[in-house]
Amino acid sequence: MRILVALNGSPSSIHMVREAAQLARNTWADVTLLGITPVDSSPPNHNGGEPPKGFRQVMEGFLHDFLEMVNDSESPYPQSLTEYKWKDADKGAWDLDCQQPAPGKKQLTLRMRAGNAAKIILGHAQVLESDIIVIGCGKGVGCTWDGSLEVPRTIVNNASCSVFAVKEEKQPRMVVCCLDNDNVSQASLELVNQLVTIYHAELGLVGVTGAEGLKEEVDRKMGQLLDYYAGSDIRAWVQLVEASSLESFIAQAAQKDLVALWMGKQSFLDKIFFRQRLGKLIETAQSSVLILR
Amino acid sequence: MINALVAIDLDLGSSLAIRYAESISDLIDMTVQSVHVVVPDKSGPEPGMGWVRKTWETAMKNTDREDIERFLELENAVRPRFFKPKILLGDRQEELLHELQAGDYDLFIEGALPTFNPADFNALVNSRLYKLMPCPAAMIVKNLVTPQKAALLLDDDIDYSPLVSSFLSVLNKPVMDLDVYYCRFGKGSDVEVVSQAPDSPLFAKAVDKLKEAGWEPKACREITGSPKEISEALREYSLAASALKHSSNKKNPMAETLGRVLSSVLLCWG
Amino acid sequence: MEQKPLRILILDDEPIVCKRLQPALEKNGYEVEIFTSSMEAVQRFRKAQFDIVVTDLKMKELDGLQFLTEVKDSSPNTEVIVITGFATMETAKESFRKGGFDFLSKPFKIGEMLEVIKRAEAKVRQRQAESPSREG
Repeated sequence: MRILVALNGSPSSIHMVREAAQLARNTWADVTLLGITPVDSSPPNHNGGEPPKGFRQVMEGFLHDFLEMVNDSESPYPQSLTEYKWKDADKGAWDLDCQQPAPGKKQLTLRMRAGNAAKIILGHAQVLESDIIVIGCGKGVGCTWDGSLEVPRTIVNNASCSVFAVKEEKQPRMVVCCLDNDNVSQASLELVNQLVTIYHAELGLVGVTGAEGLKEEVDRKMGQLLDYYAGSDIRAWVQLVEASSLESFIAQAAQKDLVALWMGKQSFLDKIFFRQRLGKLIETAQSSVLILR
Repeated sequence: MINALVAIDLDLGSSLAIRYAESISDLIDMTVQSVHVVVPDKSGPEPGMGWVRKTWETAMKNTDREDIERFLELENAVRPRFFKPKILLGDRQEELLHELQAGDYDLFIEGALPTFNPADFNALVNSRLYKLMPCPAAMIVKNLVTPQKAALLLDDDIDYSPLVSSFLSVLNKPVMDLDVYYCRFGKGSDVEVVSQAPDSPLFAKAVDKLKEAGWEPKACREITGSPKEISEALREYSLAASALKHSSNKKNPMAETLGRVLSSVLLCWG
Repeated sequence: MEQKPLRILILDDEPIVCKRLQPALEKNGYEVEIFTSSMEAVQRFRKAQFDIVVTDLKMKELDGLQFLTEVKDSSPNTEVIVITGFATMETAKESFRKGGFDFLSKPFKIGEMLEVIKRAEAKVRQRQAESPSREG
């Protein structure tokens, strides 16, 4: 598994570093911490090509904290920052990398970039073939990146992999996955398995109903999912929610659970409802939201 | 021997219902009659009478019969004590009511996936089928959960004696763990559970009656909260059992609680 | 001199995983056999030599760690890559303690698996070069 953790250099993002570390500690994923600073705070040729000092300090701090959190004699990640070296990079791009990992060792890399955050994050996710982007949001209502709603919204709407919009660290008692179509990727099923295992959580499969009730294909898919998870010894609950009540359902569920939305290619939520309202949904949810693709 | 009627269609709810029937028929002595009602397409023309209508009805039923038999095979529900499915044609509620009256069943089972809106459950239990249901209990299967732990819910509006009798008429031996709750509905923000039985002779009598039948409740508790909070607090149970009155039309907190729980519900008529 | 293609055994009780990996690895020049039953995989492994084994962890009959032990006991030079959809720190560590070459959590992209396979191949080739007679 490959995890891309998008950070804006705000010290308050530590909660998502912790969440990503918990995921990595259990899955032994390759992790890229991607810090992005706006171009205007990154003067050209500053400090002989080095990143802005404050930004660098915060990002190195994140890397240090991440290493601390996964630290263990058998950890697949480097043991300390001393194993890292700055790599030559282009203007506005700085990489702090470890040597080529030995078999069984996993990559934990820090990349710092200056520029358009959404574009950089989506570009990295594609090049790195990330399975999940972890992106931070302000705690509580709202989901902003440096005060703007646009970055999380663009990432969530356009990423081809799953996106975990982390608002706070938590131990959900249930991973509640909402489904409105039968196009469920194997990767998303596997990601749900991992989260349920890591959090020791139950699983909720929520069918989203339209004016005509639950679509036949969704009913069938929910049955298949139920069998799939039962076969994996995961206790799964089914439930139905009308599309018009989805926002209030999510707001309620997100208080104690981790809400995940299956946004496959055929999702009407994706095409109609969420293109306009997904950003809002994540903004209004009090807690983290996972978009499954 | 308990005689159960399971209403089935070709959907997930029915799949859950039939699986639940399988799992409890392994625990209690129960025969299972499945029934599927073919509802004629209202948009199409219906033949008038005589042999033309009879032929049309037979054709309609036979088409669905094959699907239902395949469905039951897939669900592993072709087994001893599971009778061949009955295929009926007409209005679903009326046909089921008629079958329940004619067949002298002890238990009606159907699948109904839980919904976020408790009004859906309220509409179900206030439907004509449930209002006129002649058998003593109905099992509404909401989820696929192994029947391991049940909660029997009592409150001031419930006449304990018929509830316990109905409960025992279906679950005639202790086949799972049982906790008994006295529910005190309110609007408080936090649910409160007191780990001791309420000081009530009626409550004690209900528990004694359960004990006489071999059920030894693991815990008797008092729980206070709104239906939403109480249903949340009952998440660990695979079955919630309680009573509703046939005559009651109004929304009551027990119905709302039963509507909100994700587990299956055993509805006994009080 | 052209090298003999490496032989890979893939074991995962989810057919979709085997079906996805097999063509991708064959396209990269490997000889691949797939199994969805661990018992059948064990029987096949006892009869034929494989250079690399890719095994799922959580399976109904023999689980992946038991299969890993079986493989390493009878063929220590076979490199085993453990994949799992239900990763925990403990299972990852246990895979390495039992001699696993690498541990991959699902979901993974084919590219990620190929990188690991190539690293395992390098190790197998190096060993073959060091003691050609023994490896045949």
